[in-house]
Amino acid sequence: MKHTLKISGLTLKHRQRTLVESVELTLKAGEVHALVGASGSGKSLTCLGILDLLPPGVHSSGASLLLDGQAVAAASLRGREVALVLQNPRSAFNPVRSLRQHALETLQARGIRGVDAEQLIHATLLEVGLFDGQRVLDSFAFQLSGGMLQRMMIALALLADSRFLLADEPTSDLDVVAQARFLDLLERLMVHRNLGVLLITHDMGVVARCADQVTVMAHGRIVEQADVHSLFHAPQSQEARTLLAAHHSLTMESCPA
Amino acid sequence: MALPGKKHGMRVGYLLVGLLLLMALFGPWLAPYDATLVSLDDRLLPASASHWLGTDHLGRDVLSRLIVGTQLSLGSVVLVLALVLIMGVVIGGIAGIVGGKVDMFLMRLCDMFLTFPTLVLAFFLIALLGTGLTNVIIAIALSHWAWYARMVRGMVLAQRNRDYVLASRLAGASRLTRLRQHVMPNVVGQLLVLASMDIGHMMLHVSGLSFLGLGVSPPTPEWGVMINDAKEFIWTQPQLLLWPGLMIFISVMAFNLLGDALRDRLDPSVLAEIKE
Amino acid sequence: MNLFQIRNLSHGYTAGAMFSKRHRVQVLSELNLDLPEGQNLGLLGGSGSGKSTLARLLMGLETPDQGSIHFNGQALQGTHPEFLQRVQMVFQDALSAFNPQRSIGWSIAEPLRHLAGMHREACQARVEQLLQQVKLEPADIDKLPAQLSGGQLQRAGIARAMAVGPQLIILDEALSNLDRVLQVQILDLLAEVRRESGTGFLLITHDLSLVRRFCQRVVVLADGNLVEDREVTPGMRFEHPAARILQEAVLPAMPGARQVAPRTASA
Repeated sequence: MKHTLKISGLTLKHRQRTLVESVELTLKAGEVHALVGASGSGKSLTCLGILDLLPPGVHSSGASLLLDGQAVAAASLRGREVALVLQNPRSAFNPVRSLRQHALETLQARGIRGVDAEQLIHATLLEVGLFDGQRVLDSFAFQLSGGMLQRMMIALALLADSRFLLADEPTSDLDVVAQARFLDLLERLMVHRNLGVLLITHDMGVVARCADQVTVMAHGRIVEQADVHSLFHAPQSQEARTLLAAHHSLTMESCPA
Repeated sequence: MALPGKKHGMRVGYLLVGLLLLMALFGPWLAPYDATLVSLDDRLLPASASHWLGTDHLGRDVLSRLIVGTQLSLGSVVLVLALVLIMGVVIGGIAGIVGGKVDMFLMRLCDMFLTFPTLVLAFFLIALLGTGLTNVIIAIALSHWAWYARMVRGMVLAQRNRDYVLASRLAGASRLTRLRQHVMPNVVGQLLVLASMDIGHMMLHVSGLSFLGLGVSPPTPEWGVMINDAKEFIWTQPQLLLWPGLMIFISVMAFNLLGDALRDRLDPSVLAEIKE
Repeated sequence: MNLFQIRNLSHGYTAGAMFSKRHRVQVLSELNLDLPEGQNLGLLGGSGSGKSTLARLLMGLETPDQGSIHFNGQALQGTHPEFLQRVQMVFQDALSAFNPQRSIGWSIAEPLRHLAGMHREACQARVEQLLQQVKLEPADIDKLPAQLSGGQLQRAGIARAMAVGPQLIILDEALSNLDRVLQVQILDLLAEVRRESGTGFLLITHDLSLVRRFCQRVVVLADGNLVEDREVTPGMRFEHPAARILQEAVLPAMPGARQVAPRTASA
């Protein structure tokens, strides 16, 4: 059976100002759904809104979440069914706790302890490409590179046995090599673990590389939803055309198709 | 973004500080009676139309003493603060800018002062210098400057490594210009915020030492002295303690609110938030 | 005419203090590079390859451990005013590169005051001209850094670097924090500047697609060594393995089919 997470009618307001208006998104297991838009288009807020992790002063109204057709509360998904990966991984870890403590804490929530936990952690680190497991686990967040921390974030998501992953600009702070490796990993997990991913990005290259479905946002509204091939070959909205024009002017010269 | 409640607090802060300044500057003209006029027939009168807040054990008008006392209570704090800031900026600034052995020496000197609790150090200095308001001011300043010197040094070091100071260097600005235009304004901005929040603390120090009879001597109106005078009547006339206590409370609060407002004005991270 | 001539340049820094043993970390080793006038050179490298250290050395902010840097035939010695009139730099983090208490116009005028010795009216006129050139509004002159967006601030950074009309502007990851649309806009703007004033650029980045759009020549830095130095051509292919990794990491132009095979029993 194919798991789905359906978000509908997500509207976010700050006082009287509407920041995000009636957003509808469906995440499917084993698929990457890309959410793109310029900065200020409301894509990051949408991501936080799904898990009800909004900044103070921003209110959500009318949103409903359906997990495999069943209505669920955002709070019950957080850190369990749905994991979050943020742009700046360093701030997502507690600086005074080692990564091992982070991993054990995650497993404790599932009731896994002791030897079982150790084994599972090591297997998972190998799966996300952190081969130097012992050293990574004994480290603190400030001692590791951004790319390694993003892998660790994914590892924690896998340890929590999450079926869906919300990733907000996960590769924007990484260099291109770390970015390519991270996207490889994401793609592998999607296929092997049947993970459903919401990938927020401003880079159409990332979309071309790994997305199945694409949602384009502008000024807090969805302006286009399409599968990745239709979007690249026949963009309908002005916003999508602008993003693609910038993308092609940087990539097309090398491979005149 | 400024919350509506916070904005209200800022206005109250400005208003209260303004009122206190008025009272400090024009106290003798605003007061209904001579603040030191003893009238033994009118001892310990309750509040009435002629004496709004009643009279004390020597028949002096409490309201007048409160108003006239503002000048000394606030003035001494402003003097303390000025001394502390000057010493802090000069010593901390030199330590941060020159660095090396000079920095080492100045910071060890700071450490010496920081090892004693401020109150103990102040008592010790008053024992050396003798009692009296001037000596109290000097003692409190000397027991606090090291905190500020350390903070200024830290701020100078942090500012020097900022990209915009480097950018200014690449724009050809001399060392002195960079200090004057980039490092110091940003340090002083942060420092004023801290200082305005510290005014309350200093005020409690000055009043506390006056209360103990080390600072201002009795006939002179000052809030700490008034509390000291009133302590004998705490069971029969508690309001005599209440009024000067309330003045200290209001001033401490007013300067804290002002400090909040200043921080919002000067702190760039808050500026960025307001924009959004 | 070579603007910069780098010979056998090696540089490192001392790491470890309180708890660990002090040791020397080698960042650049035995570097040789010529930088001709008026050329756009791309300096490509991953994080930790030493490219920002090279930028600091070229700006005269640090003195190399070994080897030499010559500028216009003369040995580079610190940040002299005559040198800064010729070479300027744009920083990666635009917000932290501006004094939060000063207006944008004041900051852009800084090099004019110190390097060109201009008076107030002349400064004002030049700043207005610069703002127009980088496509900022005339009203932005009085704004504080916190009131501009990231893209606008980076334009202001470029305006400041252009102010004294240098021969070379070093862009130290100056486009990395911007989104694609802004990157393209700013590259077009810089190409226009180069056409109008002949200013050359040294684009330091980890992203080959920016180099391909903007530069005539590219050098690749990996672990402190120069491993590639070639003309930028449409079908350009790197040969050194470290450079190939950077090239292959460039994201595709169009979506393709999935490359990952489902897990097999043997995996």
